[in-house]
Amino acid sequence: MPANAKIIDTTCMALKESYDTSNLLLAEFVSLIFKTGVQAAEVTPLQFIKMKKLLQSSRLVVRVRSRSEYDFCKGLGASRFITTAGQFKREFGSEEYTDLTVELNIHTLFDYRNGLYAYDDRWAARIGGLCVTGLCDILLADYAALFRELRRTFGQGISLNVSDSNSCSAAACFEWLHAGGVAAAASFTGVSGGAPLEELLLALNLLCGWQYDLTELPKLKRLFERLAKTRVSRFKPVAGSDIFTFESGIHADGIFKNPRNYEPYMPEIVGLQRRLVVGKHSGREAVKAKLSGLKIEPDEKVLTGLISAIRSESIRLKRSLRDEEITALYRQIAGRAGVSGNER
Amino acid sequence: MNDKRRLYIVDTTLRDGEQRAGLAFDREQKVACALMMDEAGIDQIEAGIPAMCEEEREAIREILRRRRSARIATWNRMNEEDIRFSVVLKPDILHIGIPVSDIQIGEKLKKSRDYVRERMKRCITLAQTDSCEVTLGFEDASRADISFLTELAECAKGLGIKRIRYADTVGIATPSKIAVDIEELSKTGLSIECHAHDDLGMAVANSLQAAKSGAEYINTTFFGIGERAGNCNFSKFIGCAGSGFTFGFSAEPGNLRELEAEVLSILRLKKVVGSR
Repeated sequence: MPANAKIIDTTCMALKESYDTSNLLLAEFVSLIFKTGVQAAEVTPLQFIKMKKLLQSSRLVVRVRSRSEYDFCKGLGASRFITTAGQFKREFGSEEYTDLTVELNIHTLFDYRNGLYAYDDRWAARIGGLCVTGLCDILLADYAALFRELRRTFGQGISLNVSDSNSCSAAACFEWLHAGGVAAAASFTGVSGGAPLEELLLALNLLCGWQYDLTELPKLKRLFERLAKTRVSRFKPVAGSDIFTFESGIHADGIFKNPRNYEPYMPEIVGLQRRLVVGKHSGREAVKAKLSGLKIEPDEKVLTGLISAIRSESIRLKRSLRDEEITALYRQIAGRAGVSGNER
Repeated sequence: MNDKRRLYIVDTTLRDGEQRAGLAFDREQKVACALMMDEAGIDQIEAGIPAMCEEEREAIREILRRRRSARIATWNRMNEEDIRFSVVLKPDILHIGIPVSDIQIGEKLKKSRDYVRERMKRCITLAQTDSCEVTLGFEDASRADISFLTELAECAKGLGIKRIRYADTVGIATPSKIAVDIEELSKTGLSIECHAHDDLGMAVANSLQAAKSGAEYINTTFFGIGERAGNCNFSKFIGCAGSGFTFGFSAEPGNLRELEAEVLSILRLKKVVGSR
């Protein structure tokens, strides 16, 4: 993998240009994205105007729709641009634009193989770069051969932005960079329709040793939720708040012995901490650990009774149990068994 | 197009899916959900862990009694007690999870590879009865030494095992890694099943790659529920693989949405199934 490979964040494209979005909030979000190690972020002209004084503007790639937008933003200090192939063809005349990337949408492999996309070989000499988007079904085919072919057809420097309509975009972008691709685009949680940025960065970090820093992910996620007016699932890979919550006896037992048994990476890498919940699937060790956290030292006999009571209660409620429910069950069972005073 | 290969879905919503922290299904829910999946044409349903509790065993018994065509599997740890609980239920498939990575062998079992091999053999012999097929699950296979996996696979094959499961238990595999491992395991001549987790968001891609590399059985859960970030999402996988493979049911988006809606209401998953 080339050491100079670039990741371009496209999250801002999905954050609607609502005028109530505070410049500071958006700039804070993008600066946190840069802090992870991502090299550039795509923004709209309006977002560029809002953020150019707050961020290093050379890392902002402005998405323009016409020559006049391009000229206008350039006049304001923008130094990198992107536009679609269609707009480039219609709006940009025949001049050279070394600071402009053209985005070529090739929806599917069928379209690629049948030349159903708007590319002109002569553009290569006139533009700064090419970004291929789409190709949602690339992993269905021999993707390694296709990656080589794409680079031969469109140039070694092309960037890839795989659409997620087949739920394979993170894997496709990872394999692309792994196979020598020099650039890829992604957005936080995949909100812009391509690869989820956090998944791609973590995979590159864990599997290729690229130094992306995801320790501020929870903060990034909170900002994203405010900006996009949405909630990220608690179980979203990498970014979910509950991905390190564990319950089942088998996993709990393994994690107590060594977290590596059932964790792909340390929770701290994504700014989280592991958390134990107790319910239907909990075994002896998990219940003991939970009680110890609640400052209760159970008698062995009581513990056996408690485990089965927790299981029944959890099935009845169709969920795991809260701390106060566990304490109440413990008191009930300990009381019945005539054991008392074990609560520290 | 009739040249598409047929894939077999092993749905584990009721076993690994339920292991998502915070979830607990009761007997009625499990039975209703299994019967719905059976009706829908899902090939195999991993119904639960018999050793867990009597309510779990009752649910599995009822599913076995009432299902029409789906094969019903039980999940077991590699120990005699678990297997005894399962054998008496007479499931179609008795599945045994075998920890295979040096991390899990050393840190969880605190044993050696030799111990795992011998124990596996003993468990297979104990589990094999006339009424059920035994399948093996290589747990944490993606972090294991592939030569140890093939060694275990050959050994199991000698004992009459026909299918092994490659489990990316901690969800760190990538398509290129899956391709190498599944192709290697396929050389044993055994049927291969793939069990993927979504920790890096690659569960669908990895399952697709497994199928491309020769796996015939793919594990899924509805809404991708499961430990941590979850498992391979049933409808996302079918939606993705549907253009290259066939299934025992229609891969049309409308059909998949209907199945999801039914599971959502039976298992009351609304709170768990987030937006993004």
